[in-house]
Amino acid sequence: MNLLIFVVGTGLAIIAARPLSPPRLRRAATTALIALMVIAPFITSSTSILFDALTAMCIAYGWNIIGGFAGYAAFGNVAYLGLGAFVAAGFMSRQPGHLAWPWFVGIPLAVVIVSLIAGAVGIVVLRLRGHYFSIATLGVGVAMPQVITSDAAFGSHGLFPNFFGGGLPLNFPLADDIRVGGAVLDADRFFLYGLGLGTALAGWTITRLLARSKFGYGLVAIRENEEAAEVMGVNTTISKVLAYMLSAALAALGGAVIGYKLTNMTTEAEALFSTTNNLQMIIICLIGGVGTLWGPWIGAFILFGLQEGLRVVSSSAEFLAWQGVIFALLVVLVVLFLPRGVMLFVATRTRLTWRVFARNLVAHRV
Amino acid sequence: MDFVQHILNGLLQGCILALIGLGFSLVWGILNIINLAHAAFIMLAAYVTYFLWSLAGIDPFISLPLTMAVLFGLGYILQRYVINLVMGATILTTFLLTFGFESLLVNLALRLFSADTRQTKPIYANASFSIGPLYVPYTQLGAVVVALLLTYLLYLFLDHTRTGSSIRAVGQDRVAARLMGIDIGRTYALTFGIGAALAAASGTLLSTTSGFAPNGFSAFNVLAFSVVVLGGLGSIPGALLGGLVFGLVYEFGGTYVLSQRDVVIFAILILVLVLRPTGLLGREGYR
Repeated sequence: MNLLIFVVGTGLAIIAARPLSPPRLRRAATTALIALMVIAPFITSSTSILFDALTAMCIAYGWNIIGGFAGYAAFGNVAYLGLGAFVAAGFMSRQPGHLAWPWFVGIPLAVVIVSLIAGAVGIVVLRLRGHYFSIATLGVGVAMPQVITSDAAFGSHGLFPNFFGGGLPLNFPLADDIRVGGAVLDADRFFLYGLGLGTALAGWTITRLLARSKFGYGLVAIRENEEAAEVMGVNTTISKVLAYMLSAALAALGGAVIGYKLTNMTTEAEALFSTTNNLQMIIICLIGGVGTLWGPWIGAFILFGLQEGLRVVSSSAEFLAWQGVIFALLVVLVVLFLPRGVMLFVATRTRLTWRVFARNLVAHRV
Repeated sequence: MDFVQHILNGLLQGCILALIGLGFSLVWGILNIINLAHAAFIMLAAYVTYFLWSLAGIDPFISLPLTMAVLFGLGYILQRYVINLVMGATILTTFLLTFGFESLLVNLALRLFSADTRQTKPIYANASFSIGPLYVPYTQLGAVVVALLLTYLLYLFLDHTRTGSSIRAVGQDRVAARLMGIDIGRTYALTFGIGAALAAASGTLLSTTSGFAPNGFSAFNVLAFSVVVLGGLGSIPGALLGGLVFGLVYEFGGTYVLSQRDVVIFAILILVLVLRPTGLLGREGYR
């Protein structure tokens, strides 16, 4: 059933993304897609993989803003993903010494705090370009988990004692099942899935507004030629930092909701800050199409659809073990053969032939 | 005396870091590629050394040339038949591509070799000699000798051979080098192979001095980058200096400042990039 939702969802997203089809059809497809995602938990027995796809999509939308629109290849957004989860857990945890705030306070607050931190980091690293920027952000990704676990800031005698557990386990509270009349709606299947869908829609809406705004055009101008953009009156510094903050905010939002579902932050820290998570947002954008509104949506549905399909045909534990290998191989193949992603076929009149895949190589070989 | 011992440890460690930075710097300076698979090459070499030692009983310092040859071959093939195909594309392409190779190799290693920590332990592994109150482990000393020797050999090769000159020529001006009859694709592959071989040497040395697991190497990419940035791109003495400085930082940062060494290193990297992007001894890198 989930596989069917992925296939239908990808189809609807492609129709909605196609600039050549009539606007009314595109609007109808968009509405149908959102409706499909809303009724999804009622027609499928487990929304777990849909939740994964939607939160990953939100994070990918975040990467798309800085990496796609502004053309600054950030490799450390996983830092904000994990940080978002930890900060939200710090506010929401019901353990002694924590604040036990409800999710609708804790998560937005975490997003705001993380984007402010990202702003401070961004002011420094966005002075760099190209390789230098990418490596510096990669460094942020390496350093962040160490900062979070450092005793100097978050240990029992540190600046913020025990905010991140300080050696003790840090837990999100368990999400409660919703009771409507006599029916009990399972928290995982309905409530957390709803939050996941919310994050994806937030990412999509922000990108949609961004793509048509002056700010968004400014970012594209920076990507194409930063000096020219500056001359044309784009305040490149402010635009870049804002884009970086937005990107981190979406990563934090997705991360916080993922953390809420995983519950135990101390044992899951490694999973949150993993290379797989770091790679996932980039591969989603690449598969779909970097710097486009529908790219991350299509990319996430294709990636997780593939995952679900493989799980159906093979035994799931075996597949999970090879997931990292498959992801990495996908990155290599897409970079080599289809750098513009599926959008190449959706947005232009390019037909699907073998020659299309070789085109990138012919154009760029030594 | 503790202090002097730390300085010594830092310098010993720094020689290996310099070797890591050297291969990274060569590939970056000549090919304009940030090779994120560099850490994975180090990791692979550590495993080759480990298995040669544990299965065939070959001493790591004897298997070193063999390990370097294996990694040279891998690097040559990767560059010649894959990366050369997209050399003309934007820098993001090669960055992502090597990023993909890195996670491919690490994940494969995790599947094939498991995540267990291993160490190549020849009989002299824990032995050391002392100069007065200072202790020098034999493996560390061997590592320093190998690192300095390889650095010197690389300098001789680049400066005093025809092939070395052609590599430098390609780094300076690709079009002019091609007009002089240099096979660009082959030179690129050769350079990338040498970079991989240097990474292999450091991997062999690291496998004898400390325990390792497949996913413990990713910090070396940022470290190699920092070494090159601090020393200056395209400068062999620069890489050596950068390595020694970071060796000291690693030792002292870990002992006195923060237990989180990578944070210290990252902070230095950012400072250098913002304040002195040309490094201590180098020209400004490619943008």
